[in-house]
Amino acid sequence: MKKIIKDILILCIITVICGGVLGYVYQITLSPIEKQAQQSQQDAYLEVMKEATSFKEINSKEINKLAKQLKNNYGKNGITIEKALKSFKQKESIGYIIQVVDHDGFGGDIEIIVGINLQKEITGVEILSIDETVGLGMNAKNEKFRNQYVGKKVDHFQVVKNGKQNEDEVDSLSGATITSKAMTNGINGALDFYDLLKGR
Amino acid sequence: MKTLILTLISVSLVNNVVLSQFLGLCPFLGVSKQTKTALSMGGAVIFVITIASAVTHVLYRLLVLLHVEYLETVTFILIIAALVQLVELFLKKYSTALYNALGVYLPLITTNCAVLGVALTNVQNHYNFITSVVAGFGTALGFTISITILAGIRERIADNDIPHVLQGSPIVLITAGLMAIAFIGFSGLI
Amino acid sequence: MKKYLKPLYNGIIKENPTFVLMLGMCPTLAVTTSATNGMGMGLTTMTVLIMSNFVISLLRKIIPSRMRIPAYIVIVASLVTVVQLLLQAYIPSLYDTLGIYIPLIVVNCIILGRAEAFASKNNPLLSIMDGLGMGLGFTLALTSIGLVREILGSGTAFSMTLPISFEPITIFVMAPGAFFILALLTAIQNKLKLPSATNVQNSSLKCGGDCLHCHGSQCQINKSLLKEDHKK
Repeated sequence: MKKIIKDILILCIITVICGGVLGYVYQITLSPIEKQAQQSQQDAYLEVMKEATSFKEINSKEINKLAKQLKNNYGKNGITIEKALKSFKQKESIGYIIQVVDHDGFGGDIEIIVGINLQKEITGVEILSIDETVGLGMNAKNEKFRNQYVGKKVDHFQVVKNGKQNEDEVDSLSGATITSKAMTNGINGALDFYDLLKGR
Repeated sequence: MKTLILTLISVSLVNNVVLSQFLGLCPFLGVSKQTKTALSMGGAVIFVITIASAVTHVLYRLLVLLHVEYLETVTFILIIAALVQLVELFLKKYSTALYNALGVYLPLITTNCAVLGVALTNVQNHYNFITSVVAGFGTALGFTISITILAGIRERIADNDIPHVLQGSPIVLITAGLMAIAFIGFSGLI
Repeated sequence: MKKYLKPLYNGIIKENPTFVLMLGMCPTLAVTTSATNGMGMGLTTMTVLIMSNFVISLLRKIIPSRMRIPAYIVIVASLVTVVQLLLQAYIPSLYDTLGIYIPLIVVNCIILGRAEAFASKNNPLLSIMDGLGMGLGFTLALTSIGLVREILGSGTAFSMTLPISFEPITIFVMAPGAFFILALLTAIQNKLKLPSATNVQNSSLKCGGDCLHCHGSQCQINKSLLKEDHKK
């Protein structure tokens, strides 16, 4: 009996020490982790709008209010507008950056950010988080696919399978139609939201 | 309801735990010589994973409440290990039939990465309680389906004339690979 | 000196955890979609292994033998979380690619196996060398499997384009490709009669092969199961 208590006591002490060490490491990594997250977000913003020098986030209440006015159909589970930022070059406004989540990806949500300048031209598309099939849907991350949207000035994009002909068509990734459609729906949502932002 | 059914299909067939996530490979390859044992193993996995998803979900809520989410891995693995022991004791005492069927497989599951994997995925996807349990059940169901099919195929090819170099594990792995290809076919389902 | 170099040779060649012992197959198959990913996973596991071997070896006289498995699990799980937090803070790209497979290092048979088989019986320095050797062996194996899959499946090596161009066989970076590559590997081992857990006599794939050299908790249970099977 005495031995059991001693054994349990030792196990408890080990557990408590481990917990203490973990808490300590958590404390010291807390701020680098936050900084890292901010940094990667900032990098992504610059990636979709290379000319920008500063960004101003639009109030989330206003975004939610505007997002309710999105009438179009964006796939089965739809999209969510996460964030929108007005971007500036020096003090002059040059466009908007819209962060949107599409819920119809093959492996779940796909989070993308889209940069749109004042001429409603897409300046860049970046993927923040994606969990698609390696080798198929994951190819959405490749520049070749994303660049299909860049520099275009259209109302909505469409996914086609047999080679694009018009300005508003994008080639589907082979073997990953669902991913291509989800990406395109997200970007269409961002384009519509851009109109709402400009019209407010 | 609709989303629950979709979750069930998605985790059991489309994102099959062994064939596309590679969790629980050891029992998948090790306990798949006969359909009967494979089914029992599957039963034990369903049992444990479903309960574990429920318990870890509640536990995670507690961790969030205390602001110590970083302890999730430690607490989950301990809770799973303790849970398996408890289930074993409980079955031994109250249901001899069930214990005889699943008993020997229960300890095998403690360090099966599928159990911890499901618990962590549930947390990562912010599932609510019911979705967590359904996702856990579905994942385990997917495991049972794939291990039973593999066992069936292995029984069939046991007496076949397999080239010498492929005998043993290579042919089992090739079978698993072909099954994985077949399971990719489910991707159009939802 | 020689005593301290032996674990290195042992881990990298003689008892390579992947090629010979066939341990830790889940991460081996899951993250080796590219050479870089394989290497990242290998190095992360190595870090955990060295630390866990060191800590467990230090505590080997304090931990009561009946309580050792839960104690090992607590120590390993804490170390894994420490590594996870550090990766998230300082190498976020690796943290993102490895995702859920980082916390799953806890249930990697190699870690508990080495704790039980080596660290609990040897001094801290020797245990560190063992962790280093096994970790390097694991890293080497994962990197090479990743490299083969990446070359065949994406037509690149370490994300660099190859001098020869060909249509990549995408299936090799997808899930089925992992099984095929491993099948190929074990077939080659069969052909050349290389020692490996999958082709020794009375082999079973339980715990990735016979558990002769692995004494982790799962393996011991597997062993008893094997015995029971044998009796029947």
